[in-house]
Amino acid sequence: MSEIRIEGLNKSIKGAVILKDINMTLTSGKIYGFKGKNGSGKTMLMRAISGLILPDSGFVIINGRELHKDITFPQSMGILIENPSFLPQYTGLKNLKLLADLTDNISIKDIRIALERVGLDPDDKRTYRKYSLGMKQKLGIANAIMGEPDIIILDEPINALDEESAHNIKKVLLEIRDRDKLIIIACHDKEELEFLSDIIYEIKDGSIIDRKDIADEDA
Amino acid sequence: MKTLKLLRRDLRLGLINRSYMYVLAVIFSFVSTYQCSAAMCGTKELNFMWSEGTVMDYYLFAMKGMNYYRFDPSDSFQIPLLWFIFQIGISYIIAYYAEKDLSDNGINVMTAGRSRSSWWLSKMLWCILSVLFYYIIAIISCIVFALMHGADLSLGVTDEFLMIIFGYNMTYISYSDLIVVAVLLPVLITISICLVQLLVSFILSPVTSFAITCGLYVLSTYYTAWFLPGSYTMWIRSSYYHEQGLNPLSGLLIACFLVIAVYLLGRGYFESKDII
Repeated sequence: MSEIRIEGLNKSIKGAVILKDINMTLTSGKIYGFKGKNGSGKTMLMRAISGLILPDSGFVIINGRELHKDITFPQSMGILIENPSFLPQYTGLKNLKLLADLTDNISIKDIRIALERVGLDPDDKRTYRKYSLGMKQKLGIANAIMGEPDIIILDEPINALDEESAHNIKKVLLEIRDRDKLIIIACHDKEELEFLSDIIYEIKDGSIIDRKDIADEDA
Repeated sequence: MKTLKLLRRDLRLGLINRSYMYVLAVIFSFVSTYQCSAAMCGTKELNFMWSEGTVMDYYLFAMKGMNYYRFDPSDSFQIPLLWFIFQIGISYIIAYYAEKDLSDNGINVMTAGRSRSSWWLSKMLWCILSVLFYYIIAIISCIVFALMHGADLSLGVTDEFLMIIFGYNMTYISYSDLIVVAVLLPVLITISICLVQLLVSFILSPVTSFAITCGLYVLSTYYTAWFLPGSYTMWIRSSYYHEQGLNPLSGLLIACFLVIAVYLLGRGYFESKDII
């Protein structure tokens, strides 16, 4: 059971307000969608939750432990923010293996399963530099979901994917959610976001302007 | 443990995969031993030297740098090119990897490693090991080339040769002091300069940081001063050999101070840096 609690989060970069008084509580077993125009603050909020940027004020508390005080990064997290970036000279499997080696709990079997789930062949001998845009995106998602971390953060996960691949990724994300994981996604496509998310936060100019509970609406 | 895992990755990507760059150290040794051999031939022709020299003679010749320089209109300033290329060679090798790794893979690596300070410590250790590797390659290849030129496999010095070449009488200097000023101090000072360069490459940019390092080495040849630590990498500028030379102890203290300062400043910098 994971819980992310954000209280009074503010962040400015070079004088520009990026996040303004963000308050929210996210719990496991749900997919949270972040909606908003380009530059609204969706990605920055994801970065703040993942520990990549430091708040000017306010807190991000993950399972009772405050980010940048008790922990530097969430202890069990997979992340894909903006364009995936890997080492061009290695295969997808090798790239994920190098990253998994930095953790304590992801086996080669977990990596192979993650690659297969996103529709990549773990034994593909092509190096990352020869991957298509869609394959790169899939590898980024595989990196985020390998070992099924408690928190998964995905920025525009179905960008650059064909219809069949996008459908598969959505299915995988729903399966993972049902195993009591907390997933946060940002997506431009309103229909896709509403299909995937349980709760949608709309962000404008760094502030949350709306919270929509999709499950309640469906009921 | 986290640092070791990160270091293993850095050594693989930043050292082993880029090991071809260390051929520069071999070229340096090849050229310097060739020059040393030519100098020895000249000395022998003048009947000032009767042996083939030792590998230590070749090493000292390679790492000599430039004599203490004092401005004199009749004595034009010339950068010791071979020494300069050797020093900036390692600065170039370490210039880009770490910053590129942060900009390309920083999000994945930091979140997987889950520690900013471990990430920084790993980069520092990678830098230190890269400099050590560079020196080891240079020293080993210097020994090999020296042996090929007929030198004795001895760490002793040929006093008459060094007297002719440098004008220094080495007989009154202990062997341990020679090792400190000619081996230990240059390695430690190069490590500390490279670590400062590494930190500056994140704060400014790799190109700016490399340019600053090149400037530091040029100034270090012109002025002999403790605040231009490049001078310490030239053993002939030691106070053992020149009355206005640099005290080796101050060099060791400066190197230790820089290593500790870079660690603390870098740690503070990365603990508060936004990874964007």
